[in-house]
Amino acid sequence: MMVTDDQLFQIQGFLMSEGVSNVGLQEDLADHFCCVIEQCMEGEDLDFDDAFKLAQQRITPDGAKEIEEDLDYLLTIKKKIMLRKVVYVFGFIGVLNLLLAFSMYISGILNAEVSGLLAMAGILTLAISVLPFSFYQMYQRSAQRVREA
Amino acid sequence: MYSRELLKGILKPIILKLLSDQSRMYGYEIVQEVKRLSGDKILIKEGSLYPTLHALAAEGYLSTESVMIGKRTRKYYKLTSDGKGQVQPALTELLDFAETLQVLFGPKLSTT
Repeated sequence: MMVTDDQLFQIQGFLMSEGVSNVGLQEDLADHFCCVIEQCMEGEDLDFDDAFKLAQQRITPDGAKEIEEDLDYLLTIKKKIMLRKVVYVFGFIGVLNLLLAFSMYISGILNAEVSGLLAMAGILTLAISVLPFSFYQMYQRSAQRVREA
Repeated sequence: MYSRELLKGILKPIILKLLSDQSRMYGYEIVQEVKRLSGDKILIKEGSLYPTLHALAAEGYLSTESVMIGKRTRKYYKLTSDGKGQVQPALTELLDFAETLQVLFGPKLSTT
């Protein structure tokens, strides 16, 4: 017994209401729901509504959105790690510049002009890497708190 | 039935091996085939399957073919040439891991 077009729309509506926005994942899950529902209707002699409820318990026991979140995590984790590496390297360079500028000026190795330029390079490095990254992290945490409230 | 934690690390090799044996498969078919081949011991959860399939596709190891069944889209996954190159190393690593587990637990298990 095949899932009808109306029933397919019902499944797609459920996935969208659950917050699944990735079109490819939506298609995969909708087809998977149809297969499970058809198997339940044929093998267990259930009507569509009961088979659909059973399919929800089997396929998305923790909610369909969690599958998309797992997918997003897998797709972005490498980029996130790489971004953090870059920010930390720039952060290190920035702080090193500031320390060198300060210590070499105090010890008289560099004059005020050169050490000032070195310090400025450090500040700029921090300003274009660590600072925006830190504010973006703060924004994400804040947005997360608002969503959870 | 094996726990989800145990299956997490071996899902990619399982998918790569299945798709190297069959020309193309869709998600539900993969779940059923693994269940059948393992004698119901390995039940792949959809929550693990689709993120893994999409991640493998994003890495360039799988490609997809969409087939319309009425208004429903069925996506078949198949190995790319890069994906075919991943099958043997993934299986070798997994089998080596299984042998290591046998070394670690085998003698102890045989005495109990």
